[in-house]
Amino acid sequence: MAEYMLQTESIIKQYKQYDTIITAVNRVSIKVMPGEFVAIIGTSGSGKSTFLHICAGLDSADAGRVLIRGNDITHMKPDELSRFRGNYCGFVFQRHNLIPQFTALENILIPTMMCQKPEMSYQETLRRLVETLQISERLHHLPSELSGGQQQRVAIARAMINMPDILFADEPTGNLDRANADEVLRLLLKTREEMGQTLIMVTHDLSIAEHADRIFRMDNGVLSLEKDYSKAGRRAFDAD
Amino acid sequence: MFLPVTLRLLEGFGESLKIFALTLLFALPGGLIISFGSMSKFKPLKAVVRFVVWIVRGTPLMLQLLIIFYGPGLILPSVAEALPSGVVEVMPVWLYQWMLAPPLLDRFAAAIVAFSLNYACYFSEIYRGGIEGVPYGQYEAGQVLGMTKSQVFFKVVLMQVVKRILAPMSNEVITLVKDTSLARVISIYEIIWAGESFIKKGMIWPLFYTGAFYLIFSALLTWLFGKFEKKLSYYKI
Repeated sequence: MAEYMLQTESIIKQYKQYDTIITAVNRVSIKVMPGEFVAIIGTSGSGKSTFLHICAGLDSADAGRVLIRGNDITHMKPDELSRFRGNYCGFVFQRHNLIPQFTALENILIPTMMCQKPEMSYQETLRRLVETLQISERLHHLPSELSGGQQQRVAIARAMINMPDILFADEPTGNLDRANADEVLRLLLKTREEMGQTLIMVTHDLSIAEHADRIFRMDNGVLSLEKDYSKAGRRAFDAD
Repeated sequence: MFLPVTLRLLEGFGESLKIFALTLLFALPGGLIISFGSMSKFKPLKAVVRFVVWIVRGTPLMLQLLIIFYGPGLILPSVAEALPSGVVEVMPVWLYQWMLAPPLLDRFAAAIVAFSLNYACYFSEIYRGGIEGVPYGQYEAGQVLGMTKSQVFFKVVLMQVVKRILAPMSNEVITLVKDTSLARVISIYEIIWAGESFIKKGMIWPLFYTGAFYLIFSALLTWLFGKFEKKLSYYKI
């Protein structure tokens, strides 16, 4: 197994807007250890979401490479990438993106139908997720019948059901009010703790980012380390 | 007199319904293919498809019927005759002969071609609206769930498209019922013609009576669409 869960090498992404070229992501390199929680903060338009989408293979980079578990996803064919993502990655969006014609339970189980992991018992994972995220009462409801917080919790369960090695979260609480946001975040972190995933989260909320091992700041497409609570970093911080 | 008239009109209406059913059979999937063309990232294809849609939507269906039925027989021979002898010498003999005397398209087949093309173009725009109306997040969600592009389209997006386009489609389908009456410009014996033929015998009411057939059939369609809409109303978008 590769040493790093996620590794990016000089990612560049540019957009053309009318006649000007905008560099949304400017030579970003990052290395994330298995089990680490990395938060990326920054103002809107700073390129943090674009970078996250590139890391998850939802968007293509103009230059550079993305390696997940040592596999270069930048050169995978679309269907190969879909399968890879289904097996190893989970994604939670700002808007839940649940599929409206399926019930909560069906939504949660879609990844298990798309990617078979024969060694895994989904029943057990499902039971644990439903319990931790407190959605057992709402499983047979359609997304439109759930509250915003419930929808997002179902989306988290859906992202986690395949026990992905790495979870990407793009402002997962951005559409929720404070109380709901805190609750969803608490549950997300609790679930992650139980399952031990690597988590890369984009947020503009510093209080959320404080839970992370490392916080990076994205500014005009450039990524820089803001705080390091991990290992040596945490000791140095506590001494402050 | 009422029964024989009804039977004659029913005979004509049978022909109208045949046009109706066959047009839907070809135009429903055809429209989807055209909509893919008009949304294509390959610009030349997109331009050609949109040009064709513009022509078809911008000219009367009656004219299209006439052109598709009579056009080949009128245009191809004159083109063949106008060809410079140099071209004629190099082109295959069978092609030249075929152009000089193109086989006449069967009336009914010509009508189906014209109706299908016309309605497919209208449907394609409805499909396009429906497809483009599905939030981009749904595609992304499908992708991160491990679906391939076609799985995302058929398992996630299409159902939502159907729900979105149901109302405008019911409009078009009901219009189609009435548009079948245009087929008589290329001498297809449909219900309006059947009704008109009684005028020679001094009876005008059979022509008016044809309206009842259209009304009953569109009532049936409205009811069917209503049922379908109800069936899909279990979820909100």
